[in-house]
This record gives sequence, C-alpha cells and structure tokens, in this order.
Amino acid sequence: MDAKRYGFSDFQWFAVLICLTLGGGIITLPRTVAEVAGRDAWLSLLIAGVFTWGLAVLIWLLCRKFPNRTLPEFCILVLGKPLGILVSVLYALYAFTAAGETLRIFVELIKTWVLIWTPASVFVLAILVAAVYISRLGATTLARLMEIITLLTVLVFLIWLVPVGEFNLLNLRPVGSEGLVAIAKGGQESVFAFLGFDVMLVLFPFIRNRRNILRVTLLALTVVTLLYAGNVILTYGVLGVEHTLLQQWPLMNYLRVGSLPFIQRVDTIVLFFWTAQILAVVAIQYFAGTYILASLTRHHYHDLWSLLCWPIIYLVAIGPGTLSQVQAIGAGISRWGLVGVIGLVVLLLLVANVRRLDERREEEKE
Amino acid sequence: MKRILVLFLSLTLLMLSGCWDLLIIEDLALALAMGIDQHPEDPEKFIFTVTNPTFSETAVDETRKIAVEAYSLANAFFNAQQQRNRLLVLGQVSTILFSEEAARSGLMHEVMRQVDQQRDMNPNVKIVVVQGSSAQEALYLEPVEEARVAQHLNDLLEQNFNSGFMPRITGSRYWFRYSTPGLDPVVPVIELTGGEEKKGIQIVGLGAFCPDGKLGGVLSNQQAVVGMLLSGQHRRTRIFSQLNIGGVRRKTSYFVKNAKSRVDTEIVNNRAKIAIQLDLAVDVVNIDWGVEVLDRNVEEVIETALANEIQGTLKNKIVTIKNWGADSLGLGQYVRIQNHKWFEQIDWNEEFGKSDIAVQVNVSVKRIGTLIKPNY
Repeated sequence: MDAKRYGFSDFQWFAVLICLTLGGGIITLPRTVAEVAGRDAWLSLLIAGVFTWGLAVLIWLLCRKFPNRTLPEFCILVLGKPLGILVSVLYALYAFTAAGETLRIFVELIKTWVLIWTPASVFVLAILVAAVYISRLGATTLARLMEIITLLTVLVFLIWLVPVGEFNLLNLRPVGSEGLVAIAKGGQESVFAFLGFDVMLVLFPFIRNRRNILRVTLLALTVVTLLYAGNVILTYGVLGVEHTLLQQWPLMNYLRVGSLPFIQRVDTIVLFFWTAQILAVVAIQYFAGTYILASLTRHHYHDLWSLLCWPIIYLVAIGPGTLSQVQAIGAGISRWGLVGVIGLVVLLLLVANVRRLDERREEEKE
Repeated sequence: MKRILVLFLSLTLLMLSGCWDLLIIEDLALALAMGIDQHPEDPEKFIFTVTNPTFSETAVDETRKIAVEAYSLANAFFNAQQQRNRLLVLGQVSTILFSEEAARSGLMHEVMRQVDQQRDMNPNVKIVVVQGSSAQEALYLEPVEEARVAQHLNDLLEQNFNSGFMPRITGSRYWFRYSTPGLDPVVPVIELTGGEEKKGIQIVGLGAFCPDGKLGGVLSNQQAVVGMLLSGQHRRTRIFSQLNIGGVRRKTSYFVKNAKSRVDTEIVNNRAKIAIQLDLAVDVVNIDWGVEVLDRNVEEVIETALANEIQGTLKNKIVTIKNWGADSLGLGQYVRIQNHKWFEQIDWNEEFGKSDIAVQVNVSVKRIGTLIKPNY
C-alpha cells in the first residue's frame, strides 16, 4: 500500500480518531457514569482517558512491529492462517455491529425528540447509503470527510456552551466525595465510551507520518477525554446530578435549557450537526470492516465487500425492538468489544515477541 | 454510470417540494400560556386554560382562550384540541400559571412533573403562582398595555428579572431545585389588580415550596431580593427603603453594585451551625437627609443602617422559611458540601428547621447621589 500517496496526514488521523470516538457515547454518558460515580463522574472520565492512553500505547506497540500490514495480515502472520482469519472476521463483525449500534442509538434519539413519526428504517438507510458511498471511495475520501466533520464539531461544541448561563458550580462539589472506589468504577464504566480508536489496528498502514502516530493518537484521546469530562461537568452544573440521573437522554435535556435570540431550539441544531458525526462513525467502522474482508481476499473486491456488507449494519440497527434492548445490546457490544480488543492486542503482542516477529527491524535494515 | 447519476439526481428533484406533512405556522394554534386551577368538585381533575393567537384575518379576537377540565396534562391537550380547528402546539408556551390552591395542594408539582415529560414543551417556560384569583381569571384578563395577556405576563416577569426584583424561574430551574438535596423550589407570585374590573397584573412575592412540592408560603418582594443577593442572582438591583437613622425614617434607594456571599457550616452536637456572610457594595441614588454626603462619617452611618436593615430582612426570611420547612436559600447545599458524610446520614428536610443560622451583612457605600446636601 502506498501510504505516502493514499494515506492520512497527521490532522486527518487526528480527525478520524475524534470522529470515531466521540460518536454516540457522549449522548448518555452523563447519566451512565453518574449512576456509579455520582458527582465525581468527571474524575472517572479522566481516569478512563488515562486507561485509554495505555491501551492506545499497546496497540501502537503492536502495529509498529508490522508497519505495512493491516490487522488480518499480521494476525495471520502471528497466529497462523485459520486462527488469524477467524480473529479478523470477528473483528470485522465487531466493527459492523458497533456501527449498527451507534446508528440505532442516534435513531432512537431522533425519534424521541425530533422526528417522532418517521420510520427508523428511513434514517438508517439514509445514513447507510452515504456511509457505503464514502467507504467505497477509499481511505483518502474518508479522511477528507473526517477533516470537514471535525471542523464542524468545533462549531457544535461552541453551541454546546449556550446553556452555560445556568451553570452552578455547587452541583459539582465536594470533589472526591464519592470515594476512590466509586470513581474507579466510574472510570471502568466510562472507558467503553472511548472504544473506536482501536481502528488503528486496521488503519495503521494508511498513516503517512509513522513517527508522529503515537503523539497524534494520544493528543486525540486527550481531546476526547477533555470533551467528555467537559460535557459531564456542564450537564451536572446545569441540570444537577440528581436530575441528570432521572433523564434517559441527559445531553438533550441539557441542550434544551439553552436558547439564543435567533435560535430557540439549540438541541435541534446540535442534532443536525451531530448527524455528520454519526455518519463518520458508521463510515469509518464500515470501511474498517470491509477493508479487513478485502485484505482477507488478497486486497481484491473492496468494492464488492462495500456493496455487500451493509445489511449487517442495517439488521443490527433495526433488529432491537425496544429502547431497553438497544441499551442492553449496546452494553454487551461495548463490554465484549473492550475485552476482545484488549485480549487480542495482548495476545498478538505476546506471540509476536515470543516468535520474534518484528518487520520494523527488517524495514530499517533495508 | 452517468445515466445512473442523472437518474439519481432527477429523483432527488422530487424532494424539492419539501416535507409532505409540513406545518405552516399560520395553520397552527400556538399555545402561549397555560393555566392550571383546582377542580371545584372533583379532586382527581383540574381546570386547564390555554391561550393562543388566532392568526386569521377574519377572526373576531386576536387570541383564542379555551378552558377544559382534565385529569392529566396530556388529557387536557386532547380535550382542548377538540375545541380547536388548528393543531395545538406547545413549543411556544412561555408561561404556566398555577392558582395558589393548586400550588398549596401539590397539584402544581404533579403537573410540573408531567410538563417535564412533554417532549415539545420548552423547558425555559416561566412559572408563576396566582394569588387571590384563579389562573383562568388571569389568562382571561385583558391588560391595557398588551392585547395578549401571555405576552404581557412574559414581558412583566422578564422585566422584573432584569431589574433584579424577582428571580427568573423556569421549568428547568424548578426541576433542578426540586431534585437537588438541600435546595427547594421558589416561584414568583402574582395578583390581579384594578379592583372589580381587573385589568392588571402585579408581582407580589416569591412562593417558597417545601420538599414535598407544596407551596409553604409567600415571601415578600424585599425578602426575595435579599435571597437573590445571597445566591448571586442579582441583576442591576435597585432597592427602595426607609432607613432607620437615629430613630428617624430616611427615604432612600440604592443600586447594589456588587454582592459577595460566604456560607460556612459546621456540625455542633449533631446539628448544623451555619454562618452566612454577605458583603455588598452599594451606590446610594437618593436619601432624604440634610447632611453633607461627602463626609466619611455619613457614609459609615448609612453603611451601618443599611447593613442592619438587610440583615434584619435576611434573618426574618430565614425564620419564615424554617417555619415552613422550605430551604429556598439552598443552605443545605453548603452543609452537604462542607459536611458531606454527616449530610448523607440525615434528612435535611428535618434538620433544616433545627439548624442554627447566623447572619452577618457588611455594606460598603461607594457614592451617595449627585447632591452634596440632599435635603437642601
């Protein structure tokens, strides 16, 4: 693969990580973390951010051993063909289901607050058509789109600040009152919201500047951590922790408090822009999944895989009948996804070290 | 490929006509204010009044007012819709009025919980309690200055907030205060004025709500302002007073330029001991006193008199809300923050009445009027 020609620049890689990680978790995060860590949830998020840094370093350590290979290629090299193929297919399925789940959560949000009578399939198909189209055009198009969406996200976060006039610092005090155990458990709960950056396993060979990968990745994760923590701080400051705990969609309730002289419904504006963010998550995960399948078929047929795989995302997004099912499935995907990613990375690193597989050295020698 | 693209673009032209179920604003019944009264006979029901502009050139009145009885807010919308030829929408409701009876019985809180569940309702909707009349009477009022009573009421509340006389209480603030331990809701109280021929609305105080969501009592406007100073909600506040200086009542008014408060709490003998300190910087606008105001001694006398007066008002307010069991100053929040473990073990609603609260007000006069000798 010619990363120099078709690869991601530093900012594009940063944008891919921001778009992929921010996705859907931010919508319900203030409640889910508060259930465990109370008013110290923002501290839990900082802890989760640090943990994510550790995981990102592990993934980087693994990927840099095989700088020109993507996940299925080094999986087969390290684990052997049958196991390598199985693991790669499972990861592709995980990417598709994660995309479907994110899409469904967003559809639930839209159907609850804005377009109550529009069938879910309309939203899902509308986003899927765009995601398939973008993903089929390849990594360069994907990366350019992520750049635009990241710039839009800056605007969205400015709108995010509109309800800040209602902020009350007393809602966040006393700091640390929930105790270390609760804060740590909250960190464990919130780490799922960061999932997505593991796509580095697939996209590493696309990144142009190899020396900066870790720095850019950690910077993106730091920005996401701060945005998550800031979001929780703002929500608690405005709604209060106790009232946040009552909300199914705390972010919406937070945004609804704000209004501008020329925009009465700040929440709908944010939802409008956030559609792009959700599209980004679906497109990247879809690209990652189909690219794995294409790699398994010797880099042929990415077009074909792109046109064939969308029904999986559609079924995951449409399948659950109720909101409670959506949340249960989401929790399952997050938990098993995290366990799977950590397990896979650690296993591959150990086996690669034992078998002294390190193509970086060979590359350097050449 | 080009043909497919042309076909796709042609199909998108079909969407240019817009949504098939689009809503034109003139075809809607935009509710601007709602009123809730106790039902005179059936405790399970309430009277719901709604007012909305007619938007029709041939309409006889500028606004349409409907009163229906209902057992829930959703039921009330349903019943009101049956009397309207246009779709009743709630996104523009700016004020919800509750009769004093509805506020005292807990009906208001029940309805506010239902409002919280209405997805299209604006959480920034203002809330008021009507004293001495029903909410329906207030909404059927025809104010002299403004044809639409909903608009008049909204402007009145907004103006008093901007003048620092009354806190802005919205739906979201009510829910936040109700849900937060150590802080109870407050809601502005209005009365209809003009004798038999009621033509106007006046803000008469601030309703203090108990933790069970029932109105405990009504604080005076002066007590409301002092509470705002303490909680940092003051905005260009001007206070009018008759200061007691040397046994003589001196008419005065002053701007509060700055207000800083500090609340310290400790637990003594398993009781909360709360010390409130309020530091004010004021700018005296006028005073009815024949002295030379550039004299530092005069400033000090006024500072002491003002501090005593505000301190007295604040103490009175605390005694009153303690009797009602309504922590409308949010002192419980400070106890929670500073004595977290103790707070977790007790019921603040019970402890608030037993707490020992001390108040210290300091006033610094920055300038006095524009005359050297006001009583010339």
